[in-house]
Amino acid sequence: MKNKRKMGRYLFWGILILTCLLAVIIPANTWNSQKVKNSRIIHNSKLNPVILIPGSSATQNRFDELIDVLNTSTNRAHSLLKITVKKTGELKITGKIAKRDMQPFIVVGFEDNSNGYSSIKKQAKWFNTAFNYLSDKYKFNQFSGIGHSNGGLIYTTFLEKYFDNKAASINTLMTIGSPYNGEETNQSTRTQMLADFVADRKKIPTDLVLYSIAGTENYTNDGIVPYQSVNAGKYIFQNQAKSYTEITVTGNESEHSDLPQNKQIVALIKQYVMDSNDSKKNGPDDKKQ
Amino acid sequence: MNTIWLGFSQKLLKVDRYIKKSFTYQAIEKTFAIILPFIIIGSLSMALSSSVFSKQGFFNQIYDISSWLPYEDVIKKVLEIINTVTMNFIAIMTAFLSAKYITRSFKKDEQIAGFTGAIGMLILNYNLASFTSDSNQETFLMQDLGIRGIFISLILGVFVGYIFKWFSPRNKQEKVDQYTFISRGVGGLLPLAIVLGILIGLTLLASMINQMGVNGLFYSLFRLTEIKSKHLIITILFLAFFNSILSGVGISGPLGIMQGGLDDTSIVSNLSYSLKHGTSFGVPFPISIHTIYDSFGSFGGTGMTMSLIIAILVASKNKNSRKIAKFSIIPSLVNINFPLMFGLPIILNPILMIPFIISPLVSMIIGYFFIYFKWMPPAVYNLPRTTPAPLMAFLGTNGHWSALFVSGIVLVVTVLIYIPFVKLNNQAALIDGGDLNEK
Repeated sequence: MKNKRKMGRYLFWGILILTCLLAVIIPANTWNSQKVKNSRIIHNSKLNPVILIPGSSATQNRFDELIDVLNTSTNRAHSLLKITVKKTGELKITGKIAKRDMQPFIVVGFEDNSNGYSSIKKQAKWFNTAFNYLSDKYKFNQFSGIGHSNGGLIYTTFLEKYFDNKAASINTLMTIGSPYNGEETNQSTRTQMLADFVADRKKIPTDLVLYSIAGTENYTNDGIVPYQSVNAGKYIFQNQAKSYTEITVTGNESEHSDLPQNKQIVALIKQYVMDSNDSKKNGPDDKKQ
Repeated sequence: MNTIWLGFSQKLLKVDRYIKKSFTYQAIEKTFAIILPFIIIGSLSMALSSSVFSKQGFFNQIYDISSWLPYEDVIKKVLEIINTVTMNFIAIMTAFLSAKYITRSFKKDEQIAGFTGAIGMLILNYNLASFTSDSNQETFLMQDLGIRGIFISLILGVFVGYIFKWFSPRNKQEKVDQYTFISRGVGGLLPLAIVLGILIGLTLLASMINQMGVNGLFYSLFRLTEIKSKHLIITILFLAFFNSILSGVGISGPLGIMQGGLDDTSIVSNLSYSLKHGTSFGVPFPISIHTIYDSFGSFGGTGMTMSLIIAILVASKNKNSRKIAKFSIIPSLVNINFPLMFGLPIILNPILMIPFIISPLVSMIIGYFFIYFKWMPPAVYNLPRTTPAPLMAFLGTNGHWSALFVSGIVLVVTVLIYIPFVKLNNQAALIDGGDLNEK
């Protein structure tokens, strides 16, 4: 009788403990294997999109001409995805990424594409929304960037404020005619924006390869952006990014808004941003996941 | 075999008796008794807030708690407040109590000594950097006023006790109540001044060597201990051995400090390899602190204390230990073992110290063999810090059942190691009468 009672108690505790164990182990295992699966996809992804941001007053169609030129002059046409971020943070998406395309173009434009530092800060936040959507959906671990005019400033703000270097790494960023010091022609007067950029420069990833392209119609500017302002980028990136190269383009079509389709710049993009055929310039760094 | 154990256990009981008879130990035991409720409540709230109510916590993630639980933030705040006030100043309490009880055993003014101890702890952790830099530096080195500071505060208590023994005036009436107001205050003047002087001098001296205070200096000594063997497993076993002994005298967690440099590269390259190949068999660093110690050698915290809890619940009839064990279940799921360390106590207990040192070594050797003969892959995937340790190997291998099986074996073996010592400890408690009545 006493023995039976004892058995009953053991049985009760045995069942209780087993239930608790299963209630932890099963969901833990499901959750964990999903997590491992995701990180495996990200880790092994060879996807290396080029994400482009147009300047102020330009739409998501700003780079159409550039991409056409790039696609006709390379062996392989790359697909194009366009995103417009609305003021509410909603995403409007057109186009799509072809399945086997390892280096698609993604253009991120903004419904509110006005000029000015406060807009740039807002646009950087919107870009972050789009970027998170993209990295969630396509699970890339690396990308390259091109920013025209204020697009380069949006990129800089994004890198300093939002970007998480551990989730994905940025290989190359090319800014084209980006006025790091606003419309200032004198580098000793720093705009609030440049001062903020310089203050947070330590957050720029140290493995970033940066090309800053300046157009010059005459000796001082590209018709809109002062050369001195583009040149001020050195205060942000030099000795922080892995490399900082400034390239000055002159001659035909070096006016500010012509820059994205300027032949020399197209050549530079092909050389520095695009993977050459299938061999990778910036192979996935094994140390990163 | 039986006679060997009998002889051995008799010897152990003798050692235990000897330690427990000393007035220093008695003062420490009384101190532990008083800080225990704070430690139990603090550990419970720490365990819950970090594993259930914080977004990175293990249970939060597997049950996706953040997505359905309302007021999660509020609950987390409440628990963190409780944890902060109960545990983050515990070293000051300990200094107060240990100074008080040791001074009492010398029949001197224990209240003044207690406060001197508490103040002494503050001096030792004064942040001297707060003088020099204009930035908002804190006045005290907060991290050393919690559990991490307990060892120093016990030593401080003994030190203060002796200063009071030597330098406070002889007390003819023998009874504190019969002091006149003034003679009591004046009597404390000299020992207080001496303690202040010595401790401030010590703190200034320590600041010449580093900025981390006396406690920080003490811990940085462990970073210097470089134990390296040709066979990594020997190094790991030795580190764990060293870690258990230090924990056993009340110095918590130096392994974490020593681990830093050893494991960084191996974790990253193991992970990278496994993500690429889809399995963690054949990773470049199958043996590391993470794959051996974290996965098999610290169930429930240093010393495999989860097995101790099970051993007590299975084999002990001592009501107090059973209570402590029950309170320790939840903290032990996230590798917090403070309630056991201070409650049984394990600290300075020669009987429990033996399985406390041996069981991690045995479990690590078991895990090592399974990895070495490739019966089980090593654990490589990142897990939340609050993952229950017996699941670390299983989840860290992405759900390899052999890993769960090995964890089970390890758990059973270490429980069996603990059981005879738990029984012996009860026997010792019976001899002592287990009496902590405060006068």
